[in-house]
Amino acid sequence: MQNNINIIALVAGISTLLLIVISLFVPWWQLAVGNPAIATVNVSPINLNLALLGNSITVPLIYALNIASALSLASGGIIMLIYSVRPNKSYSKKLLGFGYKKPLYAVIIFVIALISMSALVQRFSGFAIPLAGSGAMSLPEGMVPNGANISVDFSAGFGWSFYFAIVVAGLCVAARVYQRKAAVGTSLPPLPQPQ
Amino acid sequence: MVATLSVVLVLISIGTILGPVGPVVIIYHDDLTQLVITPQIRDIMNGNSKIIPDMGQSDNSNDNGNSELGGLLNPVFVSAQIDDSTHIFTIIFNVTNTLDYALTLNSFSTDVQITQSNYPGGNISLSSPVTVLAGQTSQLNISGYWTQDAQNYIAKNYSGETSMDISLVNIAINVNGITIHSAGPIQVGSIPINVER
Repeated sequence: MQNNINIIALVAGISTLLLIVISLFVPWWQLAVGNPAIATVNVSPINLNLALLGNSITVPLIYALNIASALSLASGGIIMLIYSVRPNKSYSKKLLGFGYKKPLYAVIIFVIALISMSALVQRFSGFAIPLAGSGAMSLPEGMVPNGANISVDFSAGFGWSFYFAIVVAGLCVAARVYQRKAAVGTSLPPLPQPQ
Repeated sequence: MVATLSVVLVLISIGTILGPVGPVVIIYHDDLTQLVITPQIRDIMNGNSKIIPDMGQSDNSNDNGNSELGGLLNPVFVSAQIDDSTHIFTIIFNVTNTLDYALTLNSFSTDVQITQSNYPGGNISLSSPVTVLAGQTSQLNISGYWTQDAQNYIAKNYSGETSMDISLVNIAINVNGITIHSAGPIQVGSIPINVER
């Protein structure tokens, strides 16, 4: 009996939509500068919150890209749900091909953007911002008065939502792999007729 | 059907990006740098932001000659206690946080020396961490000591003087995890002394 619902795709679709909601409130990556923090950076593809001395700073382009990411993930999640209940239609492969990539791309682009941002900040300001861990970073000599040395406590790390995003991306890829295996299983050549 | 769906999916992909990014680009088309560097960020980069205080200047006329702690906290002298027998003194300041954000002075310590000769006099440090809420005033206890050697030196070299200049060296201050180390010296002016002949 053929299964009419692709369970893995269903879970992946629901998880993708859940990921959007979670990412609004739980950052994928967080940087806190100072102790207690005077500046915080909370980053996820859906939301970037930059706060300095309690003042929130909004960057228009990043805000727009956050909305684009949310819409992209939402479209991916919805399409995955549609695919999950119509896995055997002629257009199903198109739906899956569209939907499964969205969380995967979100994770990959996020990691590349984070590493690039860290490298760019170090290149232009001299700050070495680690992606995870805590410690103190010293201001470059050019930024401090003669004879002085200024260091700033920081803590940075990935939130559980980032690991959840990896799981969601994994589920989407698994749904794609499962679809491929199912397709191979259903397109086996007919058994030879007995002579 | 499949071809139509392919077109729809491509349009969705393009629309989800262009939908939010397009209007923002149109809004800021006169000055595209504002897409990333907003006036708020530009003010911070130019050093005239209201968010970040001016670290170098003070217009507080009531500070009784006390220097500001990096422009963040304005200390005003309240009282001092001196114990001649133990060479320990305690000074109490009122500090006012001029920011809209709570500040914590985690630590402060410095060595004190006599300016004229660079002779070491003693040490000053913060008694305990102090958190000053936004726009509020808290009490700051600074304690310190002077050495017997310094006392002998002053008695020998400043006999009859009523004041002497002092400097701070090896200064370490930590506000909200921002640690500033300075070898100094930073001249803080003169302090009254009473050396009997």
